[in-house]
Amino acid sequence: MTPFAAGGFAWLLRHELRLALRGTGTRTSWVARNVPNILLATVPTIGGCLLAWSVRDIGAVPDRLADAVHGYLGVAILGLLALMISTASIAVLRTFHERHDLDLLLSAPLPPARVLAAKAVGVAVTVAAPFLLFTLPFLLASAVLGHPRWLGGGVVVAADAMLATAIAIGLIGVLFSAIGPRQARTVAQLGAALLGGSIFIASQLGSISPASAHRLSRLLAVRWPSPLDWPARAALGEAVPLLAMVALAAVAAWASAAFGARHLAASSDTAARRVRVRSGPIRFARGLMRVVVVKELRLIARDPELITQIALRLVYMIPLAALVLRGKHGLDAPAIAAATTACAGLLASSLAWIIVCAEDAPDLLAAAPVVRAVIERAKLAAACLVPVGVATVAALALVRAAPWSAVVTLVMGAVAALAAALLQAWFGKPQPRAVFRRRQSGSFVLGLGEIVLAGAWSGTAALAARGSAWAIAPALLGAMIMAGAIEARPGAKPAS
Amino acid sequence: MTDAALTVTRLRKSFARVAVDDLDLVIRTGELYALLGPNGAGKTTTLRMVAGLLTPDSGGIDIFDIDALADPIAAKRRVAWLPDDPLLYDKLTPLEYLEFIAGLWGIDPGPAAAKAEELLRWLDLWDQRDARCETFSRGMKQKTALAGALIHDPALLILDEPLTGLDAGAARQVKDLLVERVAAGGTVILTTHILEVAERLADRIGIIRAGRLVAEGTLDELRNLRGSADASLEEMFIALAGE
Repeated sequence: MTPFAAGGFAWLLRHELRLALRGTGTRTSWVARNVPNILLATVPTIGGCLLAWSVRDIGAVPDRLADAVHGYLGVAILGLLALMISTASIAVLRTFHERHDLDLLLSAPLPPARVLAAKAVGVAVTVAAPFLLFTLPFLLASAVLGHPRWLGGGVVVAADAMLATAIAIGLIGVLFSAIGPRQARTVAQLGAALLGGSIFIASQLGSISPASAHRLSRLLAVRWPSPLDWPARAALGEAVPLLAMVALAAVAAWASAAFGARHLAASSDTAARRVRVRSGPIRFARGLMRVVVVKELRLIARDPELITQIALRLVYMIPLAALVLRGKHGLDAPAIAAATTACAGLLASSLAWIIVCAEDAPDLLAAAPVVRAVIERAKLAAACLVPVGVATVAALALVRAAPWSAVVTLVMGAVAALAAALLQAWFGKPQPRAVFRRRQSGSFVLGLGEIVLAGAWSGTAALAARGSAWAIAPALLGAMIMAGAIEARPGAKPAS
Repeated sequence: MTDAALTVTRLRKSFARVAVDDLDLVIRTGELYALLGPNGAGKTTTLRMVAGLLTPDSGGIDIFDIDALADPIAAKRRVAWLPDDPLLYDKLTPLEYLEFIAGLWGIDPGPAAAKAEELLRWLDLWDQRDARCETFSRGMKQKTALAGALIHDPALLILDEPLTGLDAGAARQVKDLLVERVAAGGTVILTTHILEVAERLADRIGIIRAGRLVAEGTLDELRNLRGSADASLEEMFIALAGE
């Protein structure tokens, strides 16, 4: 049997990649489906070619700079590996556990090792693809313009992806055995979010804290132990380190298919059957408001993917907020008040979308003998609870040093949260939770309104915390947007 | 005061086409009524209007003499609705789900907790009470939703294809439950494509086609209507519903 025949390794790999690709989007129109793909293909190509042209005259690295270059490149490759491990962990969970196709594949008359190897390599390809998409145009153009050895960078990216996949398979296998698939998923999701966020914040260190960035660059210029330079030297095209990286990736691929994936497949099957049961009397909560709020918070707390996506949005805001709000003496109390207000608004918007628009059982609520407005109020309360909690923590942190700013933080945080939640409740469209990441694509006006509103409330907070009477201007803008929203809101909405 | 659990009067609902066409229906208190019809006949639309999930274009719905269109809250207190696709939250456990339902229907926490335990034990879900519904089979989900429908002890139980996805044992449990509820004075309306279930359980059978009731009565009355004393329900259904 050739590898490309049905049931062969390449055929199985193509099947895995097709499934992975189809999980990335559900857009149906030609423009929505193809424009992002065209942009993804052309922008990195043009950018990579321009970058390659601008560095075409760079010669060999002088000896006095070699340590620093290897140090920077080594840290970048290490960061890339960490990022790939986090991405691979999620992909491994999806591929080996959540897709529920192992029974089908392993019951087929094919060698299990081939099936599991195709899955592992499929993960590695999906992990490497976005990084190769952005680096290959530059590397290929550089090769044409006189730096063929830099193609080693592409090999290092691919090797990193295979190594990351092997590590992820091992990690997830251990987590499955130790804490079960549900908790493993939570740990992997949150770990990935924290790691991704930390790497992003670290990459912006120069903007957030120039002094720390300077200290780090001096540290990296110090000579590193030689083996740790090998990935960097491989990326620059040195033959022996490059061969070592390829060999390492090959061993990782073999080990993950031969041992890790087999163990993971077995533990995925047995762990899924475990159920933990509590003992003791049953106690139910009293009151409609309370049961609705508790139910909503439970549903969110048990969806690590949603928590991760929300947390990442906030994490990626930090460098931006630091740049925009930094005063002469760094982040001062009014800046913190403004940042907290913006965070509370955006967080409430995300939570309100999940709670109000992505209700799992709208018919159940519609069939219940309760007034729709009571459920809507309970859902708004649930959406605002966490953002107001965040604002309270920020206010408590400020209360000794800047009591007025603390009051402003708390009040404006609550106002921003409620306003954002109301906008979602009025204008959000019912959608399944799975489309959370694309939720704004169907409503440009709502998305724009949320951003302007968040800006207005955080501007009000910044100016009010500084004691400026100009705070009234952004507050009026926010009030006008809300007044317009009240007028424009649909008259009748379903209970969900 | 009448002995009718449900009175539907000239009920009409259109979407792209007429789904329910001036339907009249009376279900008596304490009877098990099977509403049969081919796919797209208007059974589910009718029941969704009765459960308060759809607003009719015209007509009236009285549930235990409560005008369900004028006072939907009071009417919904007496009703439970169980569709073929269970109304569940995958990330809640059966206990948490029942706690939520009890809160929605305003049941006191103490009696609700006791009832929840009774129902989960009876439906063989007690050992799974702290497992999330996302890990359940379709049959287990259906049984969890059934427990939710029963926790507030509804006077009128509306079930749309209640046996879908259930194994033989669970299906038997559900059928026994329906008979018990009716014997205790409860009222049950169900739709089913399993004609044997309607034939064995139902006090009366209604056959609906293109949104209109084309035949109604006990099995014997339907046979008389067809003029064939030994006709099976399947034969009568095919003849009356035009299947």
